[in-house]
Amino acid sequence: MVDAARHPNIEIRAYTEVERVDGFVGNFKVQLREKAKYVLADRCNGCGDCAEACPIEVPNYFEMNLAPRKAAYVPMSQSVPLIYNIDMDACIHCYKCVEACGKLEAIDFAMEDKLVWEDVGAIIMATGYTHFDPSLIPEYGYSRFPNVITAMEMERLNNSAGPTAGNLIRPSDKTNPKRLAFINCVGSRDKRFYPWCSNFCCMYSIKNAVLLKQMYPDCDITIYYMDIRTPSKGYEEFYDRAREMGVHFIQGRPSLVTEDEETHNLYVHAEDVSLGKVIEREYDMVMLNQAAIPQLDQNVMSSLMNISQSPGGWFMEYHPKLRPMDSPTDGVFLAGACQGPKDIPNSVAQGSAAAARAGRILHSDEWEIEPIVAYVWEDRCVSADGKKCGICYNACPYGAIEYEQGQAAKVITAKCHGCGACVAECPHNSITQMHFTDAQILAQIHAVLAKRPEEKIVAFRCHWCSYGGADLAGTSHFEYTANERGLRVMCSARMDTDFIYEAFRLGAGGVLYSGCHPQDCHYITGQIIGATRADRLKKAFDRMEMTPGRFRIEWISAAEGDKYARVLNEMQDVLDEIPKEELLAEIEKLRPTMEKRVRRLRSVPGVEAAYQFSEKLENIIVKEIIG
Amino acid sequence: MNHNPHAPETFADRVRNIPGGEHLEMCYSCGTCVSKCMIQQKVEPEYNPRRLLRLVMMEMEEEAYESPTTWLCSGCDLCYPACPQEIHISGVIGAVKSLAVEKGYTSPLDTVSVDESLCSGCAICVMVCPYEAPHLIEKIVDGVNDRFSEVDANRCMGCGICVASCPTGAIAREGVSNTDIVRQIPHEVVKTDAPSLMVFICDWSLRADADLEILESYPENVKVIHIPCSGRIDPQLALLSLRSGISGVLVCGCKSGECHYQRGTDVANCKISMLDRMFDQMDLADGRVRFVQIGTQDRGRIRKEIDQMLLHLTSLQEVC
Amino acid sequence: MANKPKLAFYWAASCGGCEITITELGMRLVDFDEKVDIVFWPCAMDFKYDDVRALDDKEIDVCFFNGAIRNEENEEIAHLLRRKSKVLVAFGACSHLGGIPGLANLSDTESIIQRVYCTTPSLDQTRGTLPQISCKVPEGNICIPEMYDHVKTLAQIEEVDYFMPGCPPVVEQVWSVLQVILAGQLPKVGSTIGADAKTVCDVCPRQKGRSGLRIKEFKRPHEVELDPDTCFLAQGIICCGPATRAGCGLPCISANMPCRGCYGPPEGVVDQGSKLLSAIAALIDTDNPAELQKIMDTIVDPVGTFYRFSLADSILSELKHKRP
Repeated sequence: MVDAARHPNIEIRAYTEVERVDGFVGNFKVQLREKAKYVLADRCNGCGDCAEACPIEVPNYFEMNLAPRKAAYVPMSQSVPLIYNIDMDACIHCYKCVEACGKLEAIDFAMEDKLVWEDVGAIIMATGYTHFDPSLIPEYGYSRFPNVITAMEMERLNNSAGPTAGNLIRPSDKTNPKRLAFINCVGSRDKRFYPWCSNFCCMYSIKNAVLLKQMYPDCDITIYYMDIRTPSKGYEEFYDRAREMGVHFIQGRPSLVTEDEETHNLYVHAEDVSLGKVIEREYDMVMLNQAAIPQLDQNVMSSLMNISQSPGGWFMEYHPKLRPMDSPTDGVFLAGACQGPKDIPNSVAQGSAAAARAGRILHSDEWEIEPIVAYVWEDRCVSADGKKCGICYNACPYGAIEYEQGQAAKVITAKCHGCGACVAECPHNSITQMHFTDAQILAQIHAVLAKRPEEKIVAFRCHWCSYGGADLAGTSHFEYTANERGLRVMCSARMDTDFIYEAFRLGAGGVLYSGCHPQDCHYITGQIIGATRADRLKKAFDRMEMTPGRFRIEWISAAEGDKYARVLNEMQDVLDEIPKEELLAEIEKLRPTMEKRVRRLRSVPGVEAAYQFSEKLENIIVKEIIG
Repeated sequence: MNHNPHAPETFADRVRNIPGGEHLEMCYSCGTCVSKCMIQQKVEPEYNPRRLLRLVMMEMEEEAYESPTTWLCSGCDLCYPACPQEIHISGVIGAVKSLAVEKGYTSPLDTVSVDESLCSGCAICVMVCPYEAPHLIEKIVDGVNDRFSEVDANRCMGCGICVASCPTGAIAREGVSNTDIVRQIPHEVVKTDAPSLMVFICDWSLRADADLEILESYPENVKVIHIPCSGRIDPQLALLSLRSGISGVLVCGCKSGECHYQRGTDVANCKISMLDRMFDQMDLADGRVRFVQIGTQDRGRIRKEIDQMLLHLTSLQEVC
Repeated sequence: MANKPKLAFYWAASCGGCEITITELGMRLVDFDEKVDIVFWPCAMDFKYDDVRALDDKEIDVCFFNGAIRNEENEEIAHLLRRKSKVLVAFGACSHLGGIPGLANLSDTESIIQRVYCTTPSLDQTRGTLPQISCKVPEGNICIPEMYDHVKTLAQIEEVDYFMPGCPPVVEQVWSVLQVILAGQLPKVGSTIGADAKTVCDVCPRQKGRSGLRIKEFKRPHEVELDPDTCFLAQGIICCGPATRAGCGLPCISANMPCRGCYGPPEGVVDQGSKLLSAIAALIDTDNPAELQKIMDTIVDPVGTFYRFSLADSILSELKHKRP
């Protein structure tokens, strides 16, 4: 920390919060709230005279509220920068601190929060994690039984810089505990609270056990665990060392902690799984190793930075294996436990990697992106005519569209990831996506439905999931109907209603609308946009009394090849059930409705040409090749 | 999940297919259920739900049917909210049990039976049983069609809620019948300076052995009658105790929601509350009869409750 | 004439319904009178207490005593009749269990007198006259029997040979008992006669409750339309049938009204009300104390409901009146 503070290229902005982030990779504008410390940073020398003079004591959060701090304080003695701060919520305005500060005149009660804008090229999120509140598991008695403490409280109690100067005492009677129980997985690996393994608790409970054994060799320490997880280098050896030192390990998750009201001794009830017997053992103190959970304001930060969250609430990485330090938003990187529970070595590694990734941006004048970005035909955009719209702006998962009534919508190319949501959502067909234009896709639809369309099932697949699913179905040799005709777009958000109507207008037997599962979407919220649209379509077809099953919506991951094959076979079964004449009659009956719905398509640039080309193509395929 | 639809149905599949059995595979053997439950500690050392789930997963069908766990689980669901995998363990055990019954296995438990010479077929037992064990049957007796209650021994858990609620004393099991309990109430208690107390205690309400020791540590004036469940309490037993000259009655059961027999403690609470109302109407309500619910974490509470009750009874005596 | 069995009928604290039952025997009574000699029946015949006192001890063969013991006079005559009778039958719910008069044990004598003579709304009481045990008039002292502080059953003050329950005992049961007496086939002393061994539910034809049927609210018969074929308890109506001896012929049940318990507890039950309470409270379905209070509020008068006829005979009453 001190090194970082001294580094010429590092500026630490402590006690400052990010209020707003604008711009895009390489060109972020960040609004910061420099919170008022009521102490002038350039005058304070960190002497601490103000704290000494301050008469107010409040619980010290850094000491897990086990010790007090003054209203004039630094969070901890190693704070960087070492500048005192006045807690206005606690301050009684006695101004003793001002007196104590004397000639330095570092204290300024008139100070106010300051809002500043900064230009930055890249952002690294390193906001960490927080702890599960174990009082939510009443059976462990935390907050009711004084001698049940958390791991973080233990950290302070056996720390030589802590409130007891490293003398481990139990809260009820301030004596040294002789028998200690550590309970692992409190709130983690627990479907009632947090399903994940918190990664580092096994190791720190072993660490605490070893430390205490060294300090108090005659104390009896038992670690209750479900599984001890020691997957990194040297960890298993460390676990062995703890066992050799005489730390007891009992496999069995305690179901209950009870307390003797007089002695405040605790009884841990658990099954010793190795014995298959229920045991009740008495302890002087019980330590709970709580789950690591996302920060309570993780959602706020996530919307501020426009980065998505994994199902558990952690920040989501771009790719779990290949880009674990990148967020889905270009130029925003992740380091440490904000992305998922991590121990120190892994956090350091990820932090360094994120710094290196950020460095790449800071060192380049140009930034290469995928060429599949969206583009607005300004002459077609109704906003340019002064009409109120903004649909594209709301659809974009990346905030890559600038919209102002009276001006044509504008795509910030550097921010666009090419999902195509805006393209499909635009009711006036005023946006197109490079390499996935309406004309190109329509030409493909025309081609696959050139002959005997009533037998065909057009399957729209998203690039990342259902296309991969179809691929897997093929490579796994799952048999499915040969009448399937797959079309690839980047995201289910790109699957325009026009495409589906057009496919049915051309007489397609069935249409599959497929994409990722909601939590897997590559484009943050793209799947949600696609799913909403698909549901609307389904309702429309139901109203038209189309045979159920001809239009089908399925979310298929890249690993679900079997599902892809099954869904297609089921759709084929639906078609096989309908007598051919009836199917043809239904197609004919619905054709005028479909016709009406796609009539505006021909005005879209390139579509007319594509139609003509596809007619040509049709002639070649049908007449010349098939004969 | 069995991906192959053509594979023969295994024992585990059959368990999973019974409602309640679905969550079988989620168990990672942490042992929370075993230690939350008191059966191993109090009744059967071989009782172990985690291991039963394991037996099913490992296709050990016979062993599963013969396991005491299959038969002893009373479905109190103390383990269910504590299970980190949210497995409805009693549901899985119930599924194994129903397969065992299908195979002709029978419950080893000491269950209640009906004395038809006393049963009038009122169906109170049918309605109060938490396990749907009793049901009415029709029989021709002396040429007349008569109704009797009959108990499915594979369902009965032996809680005695029906015994207490049967108005004619027709349903009972050994040790829990009206006569068995009334026999333990002294005929007449000589009044002394120290008040006397009758404690009807549900054996499941005291988790720790230390608590049982506390109960035994009281002198003669505190009499203890063990009942299988506080739902077994019959207000008549409390009244008979008072009539014999005992100064007060303390009924102890588990906390609502933690009752070993699902609704026993709620039943006891209804009975004692209602008795209290009657006392109130008769101008007798002075806290001589109390019902206390002891939670799983209330270690040592029994001492507090008895001492408090004795203190209260002493003050009543002084007023007199 | 001398060989005819001698019978006596007496009413203590009662409504007279039991006497009416006997007259309901109608013409059968006339035939019966030829076979027996009724030596004392204040309600129907002009005998005096002194006529009874003049009898030899045990001269009366069977005495049917109805009514509870409310006052000095009731008790005195009970002792007298016991002395003069070979067999003393507690006839009807009041002498058997205290009956409706026994509900007076819910309060004390003073408040009963206050209520009857002073605070009843329909009373035009301006002089504040209260009954006195003895009163001086020019002719001398007039005395009335002293009212006891609580109502007792006949068995609580005298040895009773047989109990014949019912409010009132039904005519056919009375007739059959009389036949038994004439035939000299009386059962073991202390038995209940003129009733069945089992409870009302045993003979009640209604469809009984099923598994898991529990009660969330008690209703009173006038509050709901009652299904004539379903068990009252299953409909949330308190019925005393489960803890009441059968033998009445189900007049209430057939009139679509729940059993009120007048035939008293079946064999083996000491305290009818608490046994009934034990059965009915177990049907309540709640784990919430506030809800339980609400459900209990739907039973307006628990003692009067569960101990309608047996309060004087109950442990509850005993506890109250045994107090120092």
